[in-house]
Amino acid sequence: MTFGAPAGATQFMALSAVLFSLGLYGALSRKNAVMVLMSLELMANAVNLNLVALSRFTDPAAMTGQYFAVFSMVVSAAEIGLGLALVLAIYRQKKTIELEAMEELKG
Amino acid sequence: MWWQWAHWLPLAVLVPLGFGVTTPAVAGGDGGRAWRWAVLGSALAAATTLALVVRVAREGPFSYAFGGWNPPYGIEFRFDEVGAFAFVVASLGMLAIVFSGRYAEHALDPARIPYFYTLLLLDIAGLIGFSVTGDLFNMYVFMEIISLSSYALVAVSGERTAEMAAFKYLVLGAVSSLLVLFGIGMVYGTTGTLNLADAARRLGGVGSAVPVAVAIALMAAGFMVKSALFPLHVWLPDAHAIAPSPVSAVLSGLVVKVGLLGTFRLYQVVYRTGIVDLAALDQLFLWLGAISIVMGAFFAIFQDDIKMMLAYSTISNIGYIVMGFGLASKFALIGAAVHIFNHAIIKSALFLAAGAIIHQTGYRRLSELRGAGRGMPLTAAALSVGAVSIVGIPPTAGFLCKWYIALGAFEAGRAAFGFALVFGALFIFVYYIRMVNAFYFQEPVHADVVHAGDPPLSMLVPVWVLAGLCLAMGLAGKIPLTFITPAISRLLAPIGG
Repeated sequence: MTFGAPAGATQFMALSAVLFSLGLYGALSRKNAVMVLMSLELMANAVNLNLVALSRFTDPAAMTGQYFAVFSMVVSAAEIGLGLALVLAIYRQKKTIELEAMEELKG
Repeated sequence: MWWQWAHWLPLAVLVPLGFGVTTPAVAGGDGGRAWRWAVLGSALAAATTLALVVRVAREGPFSYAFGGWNPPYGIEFRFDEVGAFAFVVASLGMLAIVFSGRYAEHALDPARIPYFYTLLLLDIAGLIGFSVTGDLFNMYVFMEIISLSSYALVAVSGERTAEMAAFKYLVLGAVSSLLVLFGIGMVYGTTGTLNLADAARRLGGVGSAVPVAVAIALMAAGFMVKSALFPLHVWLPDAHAIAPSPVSAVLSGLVVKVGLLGTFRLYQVVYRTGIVDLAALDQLFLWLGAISIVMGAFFAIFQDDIKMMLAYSTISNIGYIVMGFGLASKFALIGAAVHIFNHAIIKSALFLAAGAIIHQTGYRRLSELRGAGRGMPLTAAALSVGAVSIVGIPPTAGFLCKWYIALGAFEAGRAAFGFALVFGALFIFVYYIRMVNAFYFQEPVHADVVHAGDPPLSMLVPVWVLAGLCLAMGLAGKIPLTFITPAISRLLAPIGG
């Protein structure tokens, strides 16, 4: 069995689950657009931590999880970059980054 | 034979990717040249994926190992019957790009046009890659290529509300991607592999079911947001309605299917291992699917904006497919898988036709578009064909798959859901009949609508090709159904069989 048994993996997973949940709460409840993006980044880092820890404890020689984490960092950087570009574009129009003030969509 | 050449499979992804990246350089600021280059790229992608479909129909599923490293060590592309979605992606993507030629000149800032085609081609490359990958790692990367290009495509028009719709889409899209990634991490931690087939094999020998159940829950939740099931749909209507019309066709027809294909791949991994009882997940899919059908149709009835109405209709149709997954009987799964393809065709036809009407008249509300059937007979007729198909009236494309899902409901002993399906179809009929009624039988409010005239051929041809496909897929409906059946049989086959 490759799951759970070695000491340490469980603690890392618990930590990453806590970080992920904090980020999820922030992403869905924050009113400031930049804070929402920071919460997304927190979630991404929780997942990366999980991947690196699992790689270390299941198959340290192959380092698959670590490669995966590097790719995932690149992807989340692109995502946050696009998000910030949108926030800037919205700010130029509305002069605010408070999500409530921008709400005029119907959905 | 020509279709047996092994390298078609990686080329199917590399061609649109390569054309997409080179578009701005080739165009050099000329929108027309960018358009011709993008049409060429998407046509080549469609030809490549056609070779793959021919091969899978003759030989069954096949794999491609990158750099000669055999799975599970190397990266694997695997093409099965469900992967034939790649061909639908490439051909619908090509039609959307052809349609964009004249549309973009009018609707977009000229400086943005080459980048618009880059994003469309990247979206297509990501979707093809997502359909053919046999590796969880790749699946995530392709999913992000799709998501990132889609967020940008929603915002590309620069309209007042577009950036906000894109931001909302980005936040929920990122949350769902990360849920899926967390799930993938759990699968990796449990099995020590990222290859789909290998993970399915190793899951049988896993000691504890808890991490597997957590992984399934996380991935299913992420995919449900991606496919916009009812309580998780809030991002969809704005994003799909505000995006430029060819983009709406790609988003609504193809991109929302990422969640459904992902769910199907998840099923392929966990279904036969028997380590986790999936009954609870099936129940959830069944109820959320049924609620989505009814609520999507209910919201659509109150929309005046024609594209908003089509966007809510997507939620209904996703409900049909997810309900098919939840029923988990053979007929229902076949119907659901084929509806993934058929809904893509129908919804693209509807969005492109609606886009053509908006382009010609400048109005997008039903109350303002009264009498459009007289002004642009060919486009309105295509829109009506699409409407008839999506309601599911025989002999059009929507009928057979919904019929199969209803049969599946009876087969699974869940007759009530079969009735919910028929009830939902009635609801859908109501709002599409409202649209057809406004176009043909109501007195025009704006005189210019009657004199608008049909759009140029580069827009009319894609619209009518798609409308023709709606009819053809209905008349030849047995072909996709028999084509997809082996994949479903393999999914449902008993363990060790």
